[in-house]
Formats: sequence, structure tokens, C-alpha cells
Amino acid sequence: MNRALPILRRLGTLLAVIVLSTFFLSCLLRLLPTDLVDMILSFGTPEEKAALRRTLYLDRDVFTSYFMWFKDFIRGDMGIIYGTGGGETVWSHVTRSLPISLIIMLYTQILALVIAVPLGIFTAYRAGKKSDRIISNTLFTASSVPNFALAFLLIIVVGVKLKWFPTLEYIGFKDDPFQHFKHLVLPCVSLGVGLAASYTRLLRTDVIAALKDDYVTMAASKGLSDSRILLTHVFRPASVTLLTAAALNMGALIGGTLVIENIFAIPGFGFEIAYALATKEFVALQSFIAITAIGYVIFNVTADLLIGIVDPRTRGSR
Amino acid sequence: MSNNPMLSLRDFSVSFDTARGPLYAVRNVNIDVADGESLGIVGESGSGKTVLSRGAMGLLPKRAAHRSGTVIYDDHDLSQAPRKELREYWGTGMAMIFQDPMTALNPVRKIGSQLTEGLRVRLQMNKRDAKARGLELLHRVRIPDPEAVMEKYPFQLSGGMRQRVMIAIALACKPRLLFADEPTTALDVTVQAQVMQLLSELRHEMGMSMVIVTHDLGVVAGHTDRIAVMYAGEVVEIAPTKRLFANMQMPYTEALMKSIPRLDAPSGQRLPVISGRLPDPTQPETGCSFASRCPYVTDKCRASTPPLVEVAPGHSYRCWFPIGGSR
Repeated sequence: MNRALPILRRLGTLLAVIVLSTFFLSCLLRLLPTDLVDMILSFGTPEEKAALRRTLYLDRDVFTSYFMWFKDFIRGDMGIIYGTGGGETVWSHVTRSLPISLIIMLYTQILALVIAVPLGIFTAYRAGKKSDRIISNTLFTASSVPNFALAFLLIIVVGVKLKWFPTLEYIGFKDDPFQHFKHLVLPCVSLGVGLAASYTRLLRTDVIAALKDDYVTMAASKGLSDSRILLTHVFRPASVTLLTAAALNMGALIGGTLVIENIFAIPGFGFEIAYALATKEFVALQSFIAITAIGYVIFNVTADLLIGIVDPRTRGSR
Repeated sequence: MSNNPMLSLRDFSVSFDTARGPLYAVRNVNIDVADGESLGIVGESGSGKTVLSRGAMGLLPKRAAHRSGTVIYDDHDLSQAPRKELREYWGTGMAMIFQDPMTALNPVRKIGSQLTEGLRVRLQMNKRDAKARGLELLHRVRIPDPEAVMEKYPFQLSGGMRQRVMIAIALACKPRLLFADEPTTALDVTVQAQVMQLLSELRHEMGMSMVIVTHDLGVVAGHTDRIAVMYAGEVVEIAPTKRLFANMQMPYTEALMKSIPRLDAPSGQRLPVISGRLPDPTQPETGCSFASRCPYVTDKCRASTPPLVEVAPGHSYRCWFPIGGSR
């Protein structure tokens, strides 16, 4: 069997999705009610405007200009930030802000999973009992609180009143690891609690279903302890939905970080996107959103690969 | 080792809580399984045979299933034993093979790890010894190329192979009593005979007792010492295998026997079926539980429940008007 074929096919799909999504994005840019060039160079001379029009490939047809843009994009040439006088490149903003957002997303996912995995297994094991009902209902309540509302609540109570954690700013890990984590506690908790709640419920449902499967009775008939059965027989097959949800939520988290970064004044990618939107930096915005779309696609493919590792039955068939 | 039976069920009943009240799946069953004996439990779907075997072993979920009566395994009364104590007997004392090897093997774990798991956890074997024993077990259940099979996942094996793997897993810790719950139902007809043959051989080699649960009288005919026929949660006839086939007393047993397709029957003939359905197990009933479907039913059958009577040593049945008797 040729093992490379499914991977190649998947890479092909991946490329197609990226090209299509970024192409539609560039079409949207052309549908803007005002002329992009006029907007950037409101007081420019006709010569300057024509030059900018050429730089942005707006003098070509839709397809050519898209492919010219895409070629530059791949090379990391994403244009400049016009609002700051043209001194900064879009790429420099990306390299500065994207890692911060990825770190926040990673910590949030880890936090959510660390909470959800034990709770999901435990509540499923005790399904219907008091402990399950208390935990499940608490989580249900938690998941219905929007993350920005939770963020404000945490800022007021934990940040301002109790002064346990700082509520503003981002500190790099290399600069001060302790402060780095301390500054990210509130943002990640705000984002992670709702996520943890939904992950717990997903895992709980799947574990309950798996516990009814024959192979669990079979494992029990070998004389294995309940905890061993839960961990070695039930958790892996039951974690497929959770994994898929975790990967898909990376996409949702991009939106979540946009809000949270603005609340906590963290100069991450979401902050950049919000700023570019507010200041009409559409050239930068096009690249930002293209990167978001690519990230989304990559997270999905990663999910597929992870599921293949967890559940061998799906290898090569997806 | 005493002369007491390996497994002894006395007045054994299992009920489940349902929205419509308690459901009596197994009612007042008395069965002994002698050391080294092979007992068949036969009945149609819903007759309670699977619940009986799982209940006897203690594998039913505690919360949903209520057991009553006594279960004595090897002189230990397990009727009230907590799960923790039962676990000590599972795998090493009593083991079970399940109907569908596709669902009873964990889909995401390799055969090797599922096979050696019991050895490592229950018998404290180290990795190398467990693997060697696992290979030996696979060899014993006649699996070609055991080394390769150890590294495979269940979905990569054929149905017959999977059932052999399950037999190997059940036998790993040398149990003294093996429950086989419909061991061949999910298999092709050609493979069925091989698997039954294998089970019989292994039983003789290892000197274990075996309880084979099936809906197919033909499956157990050549592989059991005794057969218990179950209907609506009760044992309605129990007899040594040869005697049961030659001298059945209970109309239900006869009906089961008649519904086995025969190769020598004229072609085009309709296969006899048992008309009607099992009685509702949530409703208490009066009279013989088979009355509504019995071709020989009388008013007496509907009015009062027949007791289990012994017609010959080891042969009991539950009928007012047995076949061959005055009717």
C-alpha cells in the first residue's frame, strides 16, 4: 500500500482551501465601497496614486492581481502599514504578534484539557450520581458565561479587588518566565473555562457511550480494575470527538483571542486584527485574515492526523 | 478439590429496573455445572440466557441489575460479593467470550496488548514472559503467524480470527470455568464449526468447565454434556444432551428443534417457526409462560404454572402435558 498518497491528497486539498479562501478575500477587498488607493493616499498626486495602484496590483484584473499578491504573500512580502507613515512592514507586525496569540491559544487549550479530561472521565463514571450532577451543572452554568464577561468579572474581582494577578500587558517568557505566566493567567482562564466546560461535556457523553460497549465488559471480565479500564480501554476511543472539537476550537479561539487581547491589552494577533480594522489598514488586514484562514486549515489537518493516531481504524480513510 | 459443583446457581433471579416497573430477565434458575463439564444453555433471543451467564459471573452493571438467590463458585458464595472481590475471580477463575468479536475487542488497541494485559495485571508477568505466553496462546488457538497478529488491530483481522483471539484472551489466565456467550453467532457457518471444535479441544486440554450460551441447538449438540433450555427467563427443560435430543419432554424444546433448517427436508417446504412472541417480562403472568405459543395448550396451562419435575436422573422439565405423555 502506498502510504504517501493519502498525505499528498490531503496536502492538495489544503492548498486548494487556502487558495480559494484567500482569493475570495481579495475579491472582497475590491468590493469595498471606496477606492483603496484614495483611502490610503487621500491627498496624493495622481502620479503617486498610480504608483500605489501598481504596487497593490489594483491596475490588473482580479485573477492576475490575486496571483501577484499571493506570490508576494508566500515570500513574506505583505506590504506595509500605511497609517504609521509606511515605516513598518506588515510582516514585522505578524512576526511580533502571532507568537503571542499562539502562546495564549496553546495555554488556553492545555488549561481546558487539563480541567476537562479528568472531569469528563469522572462525571461519566459517576453518571447520574450526585457528584456528576453537581459538576455537570456547574460546568453548564460556566459554559453559558461569555468569555469577555468572565474576563471583566475576573479583572474586577481577582485583579482589582484581590490584586492576585495583573490585568494588563504581556511579558515575554524569555524576559521573565514567572511574570509571563502570571500575566497570562486571567486571559487564559477567561478563554479556557467555557472551553473546558464544553470539552468536559463532550468527553462525558463519549465515555458514557464507550462504557456501554462490549469491549469494556470484556476488559472487566479479565479482572481489571475500573480505573485501569477507564484509562487504558475507554479514554482513547472516547477522545476522538474531543480531539476534533479541540482542533476546531483553535479556529474559534482566534476570534476569542481577538476579544480577550483587546480587554487585557495584549499586543497579539487578535489585537492587530482589531487595530487594522479600526484604522482601515485593509492591505495588512488581507494578509492577517489570510494567515488566520491558513491557521484554521492547518489546525484541521492536524486534528485529522491526531485522530488517525488515536483511532487506527481511520488511518488513510479520511 | 471437593466433589461439589464448580458453579452452582440456586433460585437465581435477575431483574432490571425499567420505566414500566421491574423486568424479570431470569427467574428462579437452579443450575449446577460440574468440574470439567460442558453445559449448553439454549433459548431464543430474549429468553434470558445471556443475562443468566453474565449475571452468574457478576458482570451485569450493579446499578441496573438486581440479582437474588445464590451463586456458588468453587465453594465460594459470590451472590453478595462486592465487585472488588468478584474481580479476583474474573479472568483467573471465570472467564467469558462474547458474541461479537468485533465489538468485544477494543478497536484502538493492538491484539498483543489486549492479549497480554490480563497476564501482566493479574499474573504479574513481566513484558517478555507475557509476550511469549501470548504467542503461545495465539498458536494454541491455531492462528497462523502469531508474531504478526500481535501487532495488528482487531479491524485488520477476519471474523474467525478475531473470535480465536478472543478465545485466547479469555483463556490467557487459565480460567477453570469459561462462559461462551453465543461464541459462533457472528461467524460464517464454515467458521462456526471450526471455532466450536477448537473450544471443545481446549476444554479437554485444560480440563475446564464450560457454559455455552446459544440460540442454536445444532451448535451445542456435539459439544456439550448437558443442555438447559430457557424460555422467558426460566429453565423449562434440562437434560443430558443425548437424552434431550432423543427424549425431549417440553413442547418448547420440540419447537426449537423443529425450527432448525434441515438439509434433507424437501425443497420449497416452509421452515417451521414458533409463532407469537415471548411474554412481556414486565408483566406478572399466571400459568405456563409458553402457553400463548404452545400448540398443545390447554386451559390448565393457562391457569397454573407447571413445576419443574424430574422424569429421569438429570432430566427435568416444566410442563403439564409433556410430549410422549398422555395428552
